[in-house]
Amino acid sequence: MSLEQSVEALRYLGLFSNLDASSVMSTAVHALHPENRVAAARILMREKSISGVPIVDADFRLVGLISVSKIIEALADGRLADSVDSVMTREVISVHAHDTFETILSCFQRFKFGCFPVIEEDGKLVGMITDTDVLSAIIRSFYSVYVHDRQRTITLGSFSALSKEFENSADFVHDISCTGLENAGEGSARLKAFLQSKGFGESVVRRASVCAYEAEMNVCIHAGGQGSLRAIARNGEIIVRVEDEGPGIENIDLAMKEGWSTATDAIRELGFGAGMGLANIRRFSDHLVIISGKDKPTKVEMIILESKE
Amino acid sequence: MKLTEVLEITGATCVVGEQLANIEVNHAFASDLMSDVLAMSRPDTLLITGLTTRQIIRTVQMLDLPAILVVRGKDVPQDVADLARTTGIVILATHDIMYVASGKLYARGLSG
Repeated sequence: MSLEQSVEALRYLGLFSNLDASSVMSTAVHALHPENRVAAARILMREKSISGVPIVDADFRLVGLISVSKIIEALADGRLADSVDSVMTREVISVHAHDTFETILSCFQRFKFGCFPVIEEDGKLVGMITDTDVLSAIIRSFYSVYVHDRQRTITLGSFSALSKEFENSADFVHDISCTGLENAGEGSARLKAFLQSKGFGESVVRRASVCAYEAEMNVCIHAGGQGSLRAIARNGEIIVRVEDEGPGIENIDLAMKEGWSTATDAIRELGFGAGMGLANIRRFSDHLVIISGKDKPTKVEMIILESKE
Repeated sequence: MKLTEVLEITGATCVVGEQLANIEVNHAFASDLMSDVLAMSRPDTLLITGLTTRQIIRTVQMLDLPAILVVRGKDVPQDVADLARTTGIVILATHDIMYVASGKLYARGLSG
């Protein structure tokens, strides 16, 4: 998966909506003044393991940046005793504190620098963003979404892309056991009745049922008809988990494409295998996580929110 | 359009659910690909299909579609009819091919 695809996938999960530069940046900034010597920048970089030192004026306004390559040049030219002012880059690519996460990512993609200073409206330096900060923000955003939006008690160290609740219990459990496609859909039909009995609205039940049905069909078509369909339904959200023991999805990106399928002609004659299953699930679910691989079990978790009606 | 009108227009017979023939449908979707049906249907839609597997029942059940019009004169297997009966779904059957049945219904105002 390319960086763009990864970013797109994360954006799809809605994980970036709350992130701006000020929430991504490190605020422990090591800056120098223009009159400091280049040697000081070199020491700072080595001691703090940083790839760029922002240069600020007396009011902490950003006036330049000195990067590793500038230090190397200065070393080669024997200019370590010169002032930072004489070697620093003045045209600094910086981001604003309120810039979106996507803007930050596009900076990394466009400019290939290791770090970007973050400034406020008045030009004052408030932080630095490195690729490590970006990675941390992505990981943190998983926590924040799950903790704040899902009211889950996920703590650091026990985080999983899949819901932890299923480890203990589920509100609905159905063992999928099909030979051929004869009974395929039985579990989803049961799930639908269960959700209706729980008082969920017509539309959210329909979306959850279609998701469950497509996933159940996939187990019947691709995984020998053996698997499980479970659901947790509470507080306006329906989490549906469908699992099987394989043979797994070799390339999930391909499998997500509309029209792509490995189903046999016999399956196609039954009206399935047209390569719409996962695409349909994506269409009707609010969150979708698929974990699989060649010769691996497949886990598909779909979250359908009543509030998205 | 009432299902009784669908019967009349396509010369169909009611295989399951005669007592429900007063139900109205406002749209129709003609396909043998159930995933396409799942992707694109609205609730008050008549499914027009040439398939007669249990999956047509499951598909319309998931979508809350009230009725299926089976085309091309296919016999509906007993177990499929039984499943429709227990799930409260009407099955109509016509000898028309899908294109003709669709055309007739469309011409009489049943939109896609």
